[in-house]
Amino acid sequence: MSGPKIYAEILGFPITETMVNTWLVMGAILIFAILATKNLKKVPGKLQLIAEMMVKGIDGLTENTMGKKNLGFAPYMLTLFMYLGIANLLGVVALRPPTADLTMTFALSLLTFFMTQFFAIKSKGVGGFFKGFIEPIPLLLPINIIGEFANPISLSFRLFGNMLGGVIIMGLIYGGLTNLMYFAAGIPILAHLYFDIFAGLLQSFIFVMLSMVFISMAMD
Amino acid sequence: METNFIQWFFDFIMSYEPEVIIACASVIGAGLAMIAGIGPGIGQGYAAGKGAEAVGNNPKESKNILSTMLLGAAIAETSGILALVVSLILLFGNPLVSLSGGMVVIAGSAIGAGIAVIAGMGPAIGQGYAAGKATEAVGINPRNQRGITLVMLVGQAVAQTTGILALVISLILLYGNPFVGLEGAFIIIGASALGAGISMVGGIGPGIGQGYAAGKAVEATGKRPDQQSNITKIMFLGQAVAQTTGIYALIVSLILMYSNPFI
Amino acid sequence: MITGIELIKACSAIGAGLAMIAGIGPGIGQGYAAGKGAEGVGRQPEAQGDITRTMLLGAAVAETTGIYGLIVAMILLFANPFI
Repeated sequence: MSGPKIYAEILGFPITETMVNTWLVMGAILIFAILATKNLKKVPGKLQLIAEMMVKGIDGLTENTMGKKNLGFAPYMLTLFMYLGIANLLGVVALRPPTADLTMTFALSLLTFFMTQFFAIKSKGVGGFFKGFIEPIPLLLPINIIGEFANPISLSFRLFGNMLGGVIIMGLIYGGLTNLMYFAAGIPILAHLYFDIFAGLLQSFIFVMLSMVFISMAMD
Repeated sequence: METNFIQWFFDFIMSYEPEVIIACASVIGAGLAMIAGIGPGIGQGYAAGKGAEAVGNNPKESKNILSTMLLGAAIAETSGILALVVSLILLFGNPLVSLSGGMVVIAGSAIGAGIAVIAGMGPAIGQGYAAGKATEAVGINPRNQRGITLVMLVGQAVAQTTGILALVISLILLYGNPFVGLEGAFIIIGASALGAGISMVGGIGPGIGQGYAAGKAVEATGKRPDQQSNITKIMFLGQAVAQTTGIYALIVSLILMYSNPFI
Repeated sequence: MITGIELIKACSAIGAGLAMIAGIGPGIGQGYAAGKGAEGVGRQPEAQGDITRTMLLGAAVAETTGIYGLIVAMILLFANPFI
């Protein structure tokens, strides 16, 4: 299947479908954040209620997964989840999810990777950080190193592979499968339900959960 | 002219009309695809066994037990049906027949498309296990049927993933084949099509594993209904990790198809 | 006429596919770990954090052979010593 479209080039720098759709998602989150937090009241309105539920939910999840002392990660995790959630749902409105592009998912998983390393050094010190690689026995050093680098790779490929699989199969259903269409007219709806909504939300949740677990595991 | 086995084999193939060879490859592919049927057989058999056991222990609840078992088994059938669809496409609606291009490439694609859906075996076994565990749990605690069924269904849906990815590759080989019309040595392109299909067989593992996780989560939900959300959370997390190698298989398959270094 | 190098490339493409079949193992194994993890949380919900950590650590080790398979496939495709 074709990759993301390239809309324009600025100074030899391609403006791809992935970037434009990312800006759309960023805009949506920004507008929601501004609207939901404008004139906060004691008795919340609808939008404020949704925002409060989201904040409460992510606080609970963070506390559960990373412990009370790491509650400071919650805002980042909520931002990540909102971005991934909306991005993965773009397929429903026939836009290409930016997460079906490896550059995007790899960039996000690099964020998690560098946060993991940074907070590992911060909480264990440089010595403790390097000592972690020869535990439990020094013989495991190569495996530990491979494992450390495999994390961001599998994290990004998991999201990318799942979303790209969805994009490809939706493309096939809409475009090429004309001789299968008479099997059931409802196939596209069911497929959207499974590939975009179920898989999309599930993969966002998993990306955020794994980021939380990796970071908190590195810290102790 | 020197003759070796490979050369002799392709000379032998080339001595036939392309239609004949493509038809041969399609019937082989159709047959290979149905190997996936092993999965539903094992999975549903396990579910049926658990159903019989549960009814034996708790005959009063046989209706609830049966309905859970049938629902779970129906889902475990999915991969079998998908394999059957690919098989029937290869036999009756074969889009490859009308293609003009290297016949070895098309033949490789037909066999590859069949091999890819063998991956469905895994999800079916796993989903059957989950169905069996759900049946057992309903037999023990019928009041909790709703929560048990819910966890079973989401768990099974996740376990289906690698089977679907394999189906994606199979359908690309059939309908959006990137190999047909490529310039280059036919044997490399044909072998790449075959390799892209074979790669997806790795999806068997994640399917079985994720299904096992779903089954254990169902069992735990049956015992501790109050912990359903925590149990589901850890099930998702573990299933996501178990899926990794299936995604790697997809990547290799896509590399062979779209950025093949040999062509 | 099929040249030797073509044959090697063709076999490498099939070999790369075969290498990925190794993914079956980690898939089953990690799934087993996930299942036991879910079982553990059901029994001891308070220990959820520890259970998750152990499960992921074990799964990471189980992943190794799958990664080896991927590495071999990538070598066959992009750094093939025979071509």
